[in-house]
This record gives sequence, C-alpha cells and structure tokens, in this order.
Amino acid sequence: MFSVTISALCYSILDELEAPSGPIDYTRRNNVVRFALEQHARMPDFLRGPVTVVAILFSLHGFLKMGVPYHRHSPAARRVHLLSWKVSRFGFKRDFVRLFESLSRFGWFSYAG
Amino acid sequence: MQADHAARVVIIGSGPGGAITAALLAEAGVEVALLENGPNLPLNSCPPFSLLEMTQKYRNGGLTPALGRQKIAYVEGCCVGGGSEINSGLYHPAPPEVLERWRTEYQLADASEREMQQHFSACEHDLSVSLMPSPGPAAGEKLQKGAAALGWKALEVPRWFKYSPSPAQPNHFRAERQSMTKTFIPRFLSAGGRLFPETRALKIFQKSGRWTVRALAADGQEKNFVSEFLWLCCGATQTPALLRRSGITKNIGNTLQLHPTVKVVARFPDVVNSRESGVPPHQVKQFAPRLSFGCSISSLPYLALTLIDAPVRAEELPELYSRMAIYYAMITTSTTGSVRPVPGFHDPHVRYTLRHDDLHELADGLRKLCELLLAAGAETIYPSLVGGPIVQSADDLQGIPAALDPARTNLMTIHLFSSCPMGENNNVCAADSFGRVHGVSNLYINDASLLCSAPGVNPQGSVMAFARRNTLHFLSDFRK
Repeated sequence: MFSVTISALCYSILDELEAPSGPIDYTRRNNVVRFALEQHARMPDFLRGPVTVVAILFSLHGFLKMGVPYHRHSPAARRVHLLSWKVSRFGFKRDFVRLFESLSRFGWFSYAG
Repeated sequence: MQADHAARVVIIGSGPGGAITAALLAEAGVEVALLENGPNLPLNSCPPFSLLEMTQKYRNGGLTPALGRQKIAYVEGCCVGGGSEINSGLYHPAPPEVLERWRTEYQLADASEREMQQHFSACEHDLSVSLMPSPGPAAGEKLQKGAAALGWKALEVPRWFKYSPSPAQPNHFRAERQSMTKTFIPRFLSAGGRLFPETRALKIFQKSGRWTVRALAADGQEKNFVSEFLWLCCGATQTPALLRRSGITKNIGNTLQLHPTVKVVARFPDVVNSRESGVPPHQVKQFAPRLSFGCSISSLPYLALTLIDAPVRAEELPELYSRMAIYYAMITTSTTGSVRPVPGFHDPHVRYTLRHDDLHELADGLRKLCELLLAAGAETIYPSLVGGPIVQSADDLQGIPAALDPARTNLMTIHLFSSCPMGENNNVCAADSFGRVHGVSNLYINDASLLCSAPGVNPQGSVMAFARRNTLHFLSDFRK
C-alpha cells in the first residue's frame, strides 16, 4: 500500500514538472519514485513510521472520497486530492505533500541527464 | 566483558574534529582505533552536491529536520571525513570577540586570540587554506558588485582547496578540496592508526577504569571496543545523543545552537551560473555577526528545490538556469535547542524553536539580501517563502513581513554546534576547557558540540583549531 501510494503521488507531482508536450519519460519517473522510496527508508527512524502511517491515511482518504485508493484514481482526481492536502489547514498533511514534492523535484532534475 | 578490539585510545567519529585528533595521537605513537558510522569513500566517489552524494555521504540521506514551532532542515556528513567531505570548504577562524565572550561567559581557559593563533595557523597550513587564484564564479561577483554599489563590506572567504593550473585551458585552475580523506585520515593511517568504517556506536560504559564502546559493525555483529581513553567526535547531534543514551547527562544536549538561514533565488539578465560554478566563496559581512549573506550551490536540482513555492514553470528551468543563482541570509542567535535520544530508536530528536526576535532578524536579513541583489542587477528575486512576494524593485521589499511566519518560511542550516559546551563554568558546561567531560574520567569530546556558542562564521576552522589544541593538551598530560 505504501509503495504504490508513494509511486502514484510522485507521478502526480511529476505531471506538473514534465513538459506536457512529448512522451512521458517513464525511466526518469521511475528513477524518481525509487529515489523517494529509498529516501523514506533513510530518514530518521522515529519519523519513518509516522510518514508511512500518513501515506496510508492519504490513500484511505482518497478511498473515502472516490471509492478506490489513491493509486487507482484518474490523473485528474489524483491532482484534486493532492491539492486538497497541499493547502490543508492540518500541518501534517501539508508537510507530507511537501516532503514528496521536494524529493520529486530534486530527483527529477537530478535525473535530467 | 570480552573485548573484540582493544586500543589505548578509541575515537568515535572521523569528521574534522575526530580526524585531526586521530592523526595527532597516532603520530605521537599512541595506539588508536577510529570508529566511523558511515562508509569509507574517496572524495571523488560522487559529484559534489549531487543526488548521489546525498545518498552516499549525508546522514539519513539529508532528511534531517530540527523540529519545533517551525522545521529547520539541516544536513550532516555520515562518512569517513564527516562534514568536510560534503561542505563547500569555507574557512573562518573564530572572531576575537567570540573567543572573548567564551572566556568570560563560559570561563574557557587558555583560548585567547593570541593563544589560539598557533592552532588556526597550523590548520590553515595543513589544509592548504587559500584564496582562489583567478576571478571566482559570476554569482559571487554579483554579490560583490551589489555590496560595492551599497558601500557594504564584502570579501572572498578562503577555502581549504589546493589549486593547480589546468593543462587543457590557460588561466584555468583545477581545485581540489582538502577534506579529511585527503589530509588527516591518510596521515592517521600512515601512522599506524586503525579505521573501522560502517561501525555505529550504540552505547558507551566504563568498567574497572576502562571504557567500552558497544558498536554495530559493518558485518551486522555487535562488537566491543575497549580502551583506556575515549574521545567522542560524532558532531553536535550524535555526540550528545550517545552520551545521554549512555546515562551521561549533565549539561549534555541542552544548549544546541545553529545558524538559521533563509534562501532566495535571484534571476539576472546575464549568465551567472554553470555546471562548473560550485559554491562561490564570496560573502557580505557588513552586518556581521548579526547577519551574513553569501552564495549557495545553484545546480539545477537545488534551484528547482528552492523555487518550489515560486511561480516559475518547471519546464522553463533548464533554460533559465544559467541566469539564476541561489543566495542566503544567515543570522547569529543565542537561541538554544536540545538533542534527546528517542527510546527504542537510534536517531536522536533534535528540537529547536526560533524566538520571535529571530524571525524579525531573518526578515531583516531577507530584506537586506534582496536589496543587495537588486543593487547587483537582479531583475527578479524569489524568496523561499510560501506565498511570499516576488521582488523586482525596492518597492516590493515592503511585501516582506516584519517577522517571517515560521509556518510559511523554508529554513535550513548547515552549521550546528554548542550541544556540549566546554569551559570551567559548571552550571552550563559539559566539558572542561580542554574537552574532558566534567565528572567523568578519561572521557573527552572534540567536535562542534564543544563550541560554547554560535561563532557567526563557518565553524569548521574553529572545530579543528580547538580539536588540535585539546589533543596537544591531552598529549602533554599523557606523556607525563
């Protein structure tokens, strides 16, 4: 659940970063997803568990809204859900999106070739 | 308790403090074992400031926040050589007024400017501290240009770099950072010292006058390293965490200090950035020690990260990149935080909350930095604030709030220290004037934790000079 949620989340963020024209660069995107998951494994151990829990909440919240978990949303629905967490009044929601936005941006431009 | 390894001295941590301690002791004929949590990699195992470096050499992959009412991202090295393997190599000795304050407030003995001079000079020599042999990167020149236009004091900060002429390009120089793996670690090994990389100290304890370090070794086995003397050089967060985890708590981890820093991206009409730029060594010190301004690494990934809240389309970045550079405003504050081990976990909890006057200072620093960059010819400045203003003229500076909102400001630091201050003032100091932990025999600290307070400048020069001084003092007693 955690890995597929993070993968879908990173793909949604990368939709904003990749130029709309041209084919999707799956290799580069998958490198970014791998980097984000590896960074989660490296983060301080007392934070790793809470981030995992919030990722599952993120997906379950998507399930409550759409009837399917986040990674099975359409790209447009994913964007809406992501945005609702990004501007949420709850700091933990904003921080969660922020963490993976930062990792995705850094990874995307690092794997630029 | 069975010893897997025994030595006269065990040192934990091979960063700037630990590496110089280990080299000087080994060269004096002392049997030394040096333990390092991270891997043993050559300086050029990865490009500087790259994703690969972050994953190879940063503690927790660089995802280390100080938590409080705001989050401050910090980074620490976790490899043989520690922070010296990943930093920009800028060198400052501790300012005389800082040394004087440490003498009066912390009763730090034998550390006047005159007494410290020999140690700073020796470190400068050993690390080849020098100025650039040719004009620096354009982003640094912009900072100097802005300072000149405003009549502010700017300088090129010397670095621990060796420069050699490039055979391919006339008037170009090849720069090689003199990190610990280039300097003191080879000296330590040549003198017969034993290095144990990927060995994580779990706990220390003293029994029958001897110290034991229980450590998780590279092979996944727990090992006991036994010694007569133990030196902790794990840095400002790991040293207090290890001490507290081992039951040694008096004045340990209560007074962590750092240099809070806020960044901006400036866009210029002309080219200021390239893949070869590195970190320009120019700083503006007009308002030092209260405020300092300087240049950061401005590679494309870091630009993208710093522009996360700016209305710049990502696909435009590769084109705009050469005209953009990252700058910072750094404040010096006496605000303190804490370092605490978390039961059941290895990584410590670092807590730090900025005071309201710090947020005023940061806002003032941000405003002055924008003013400086406008004077340097920047056409657009993007402060790293959520929903913050875009600065294109002096009028736009009014959009920067009087005090930064901690929830909307992206703060970071690369300088942490003072979590176990040294001195004879027993009310606040964890160690004596030469790093020996108060009330505990044969246990020493020799890293950034010892610095009594924020020096207001890059701390590695001070860390190394004090580490040298403390080690020579130990050796003079040891020989007796």
